[in-house]
Amino acid sequence: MNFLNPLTFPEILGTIFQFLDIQELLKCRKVCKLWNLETSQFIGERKLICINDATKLGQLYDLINRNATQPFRAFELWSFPIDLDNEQVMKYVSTCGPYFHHLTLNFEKESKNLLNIRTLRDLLLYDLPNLKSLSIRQLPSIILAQKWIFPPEGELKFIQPLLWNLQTLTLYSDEEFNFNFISNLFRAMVHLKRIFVEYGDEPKDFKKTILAAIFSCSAHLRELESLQYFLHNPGSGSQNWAWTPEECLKLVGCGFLLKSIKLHPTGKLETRTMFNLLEKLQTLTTLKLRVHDQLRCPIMASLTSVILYDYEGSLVFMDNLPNLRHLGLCEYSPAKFLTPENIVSNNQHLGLLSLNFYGSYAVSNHLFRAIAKTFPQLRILNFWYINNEKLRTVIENFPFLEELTINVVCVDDDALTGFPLELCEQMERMGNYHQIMQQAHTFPRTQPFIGDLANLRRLEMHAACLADWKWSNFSDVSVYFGLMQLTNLTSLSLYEFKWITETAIFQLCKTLPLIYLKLDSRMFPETLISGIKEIRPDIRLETVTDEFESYNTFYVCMR
Amino acid sequence: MPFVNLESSDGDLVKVDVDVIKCSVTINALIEHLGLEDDNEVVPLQNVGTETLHKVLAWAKHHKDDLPSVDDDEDDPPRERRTDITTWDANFIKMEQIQLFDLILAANYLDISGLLDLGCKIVADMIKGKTADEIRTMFNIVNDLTPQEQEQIRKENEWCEEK
Repeated sequence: MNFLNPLTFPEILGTIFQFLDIQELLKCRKVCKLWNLETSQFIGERKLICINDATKLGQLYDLINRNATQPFRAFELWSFPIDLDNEQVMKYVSTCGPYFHHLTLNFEKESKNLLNIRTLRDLLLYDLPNLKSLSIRQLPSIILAQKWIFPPEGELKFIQPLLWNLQTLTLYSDEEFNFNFISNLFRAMVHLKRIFVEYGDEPKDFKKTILAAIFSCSAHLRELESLQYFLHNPGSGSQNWAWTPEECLKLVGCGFLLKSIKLHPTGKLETRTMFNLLEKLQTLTTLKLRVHDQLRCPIMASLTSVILYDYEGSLVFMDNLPNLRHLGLCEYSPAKFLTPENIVSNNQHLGLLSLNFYGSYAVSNHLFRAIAKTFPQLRILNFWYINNEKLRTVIENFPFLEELTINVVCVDDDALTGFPLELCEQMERMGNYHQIMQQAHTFPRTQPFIGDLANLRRLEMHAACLADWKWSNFSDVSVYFGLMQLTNLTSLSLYEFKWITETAIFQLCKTLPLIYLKLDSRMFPETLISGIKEIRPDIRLETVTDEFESYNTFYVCMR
Repeated sequence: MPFVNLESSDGDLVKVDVDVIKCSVTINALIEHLGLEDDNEVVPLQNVGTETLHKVLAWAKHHKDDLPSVDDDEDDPPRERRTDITTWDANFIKMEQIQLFDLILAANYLDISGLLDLGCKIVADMIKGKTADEIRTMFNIVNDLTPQEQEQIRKENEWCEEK
């Protein structure tokens, strides 16, 4: 008999808190001293706090001064005057500074009087000793015009290295950055592991500036593991943001031991250059590329994840990636000359567990069928624009599928149930599904049906996209004779389904071992939620909200 | 096929296929360190009772052939992990809280991350939607926060919710 309570072990609490969202974590702080302590790391990593005036900084100071259990670690400084000559502000900054682990700087360009270069330098050098990640979203023009932020080398009174703890730097494109300023920043960050470059302003010469700075500081950036350069400029032509072959090769010359890279080589990039580039990047585990033309890969044994954007070539390159576990094909649009015979080789990729076909509506049914045959072990699939034919391909080729997300579902009841369409229509007219189910064994399934995916435990279906508000014909027939046959389904999310009734959902809750259910409440009467709670109080129920907005803001800041 | 004898804290011996228990980092390390080649060697597990040990082994046996999971992208920002579990796991983990706690302790001691995650997901689900008071009662936790600390936490939470 064991009398120990696992909820007093920090490492166990840490595992539990990983599964809770921010609101739950804030609540857990109130349980006891240990929980308060152990939640702080998770709250600190996830809760971004925007400080947009000195009063808010003053409130933070009051909180910290009272009793330093303050768990917040991620802050955004947003356009307010920081004057370190002001004693009050100085006091606030020096007390609160050590709590800043992640900082986003967001100062309007015209704001001359809010932040000057000396203040910024002093902040970074002296007041924020624990800073792990810095994100420069926007800085006043007057600062960006400076030649350096830290004193030039050779100035003896400053001891290098300066920003000892900083591992992540995020820069937003802005033509006003100059070479000296950025290289000066890099030289101060000797333990920098990750550089993220995001789209901010029209880049113009920004790319040249930042690449020149990275290349010239390569001797300082010895620990760089990840370089993520934005792929998409919604504005002008590609010459200002895509990488030229020379730039790609120069990166190789830097000798970084990169594990992860994201970039967009220009369309003119020759296959040979790409091959050479990848051959030198043997430490890569994650590769994200925006390429159109045929990708040729050398053998890359450490690569486990590849994501291609706007790709048009074949998937034969996979033959050289023996350990690939995840393949992402975003907006994949196979070139005209690709056929089921040449889009993949004859080899099967048994190691591939996860496939993401995000936005790839241009993949025809027969090409998808050919691709599907090569991944017999697939466990996770995210598929956009699915139709009856493609759904059948999924069911027939991925018998081990555990998680399926399908977006823009244009499927009919026959594809989900395997019954002939006439029979589905007949059932729908009869409407009394209880009665029909009693005699279900007499109906032959003439086609594969979703219940054949016996291992499926997570299913997420979106019926419509905002651009093209088409409704799926998927009705209660599919719920009763399709979804309800997924005997291992523990998590289900249904978005924008118009023809599914409340009764069918109740029946679903009674039948399936669901633990999690997410529904689009716009599609159902208000009684739905209370009805489900009555039938299955143990189900975790959520309704569709605009959750993405808050998530995205934070996403960018934290990196 | 190599076997190993595990001795529970109740003194019972359980013979296990090494292949099944390889998910335990602790036992793997013990086998390596002790150089157990003889089938009669015994690995004592002072922190795991017989009943719990059998449960751990049932879980390990079911998950013996699992493929390694697909890693989350390390460049993604920290976010709460998804808590969905399989039906088999859901049925397996249906037990009294005291047994669940023993199982979590065992998974932690034996360093079996999959099983620890499973137990912790269940506890996380139990926490969701409850008040701090209800959590303390449910898990028998003493509130050792001073009134000052409670006030501080309330103020901090309130402050971070402000727009």
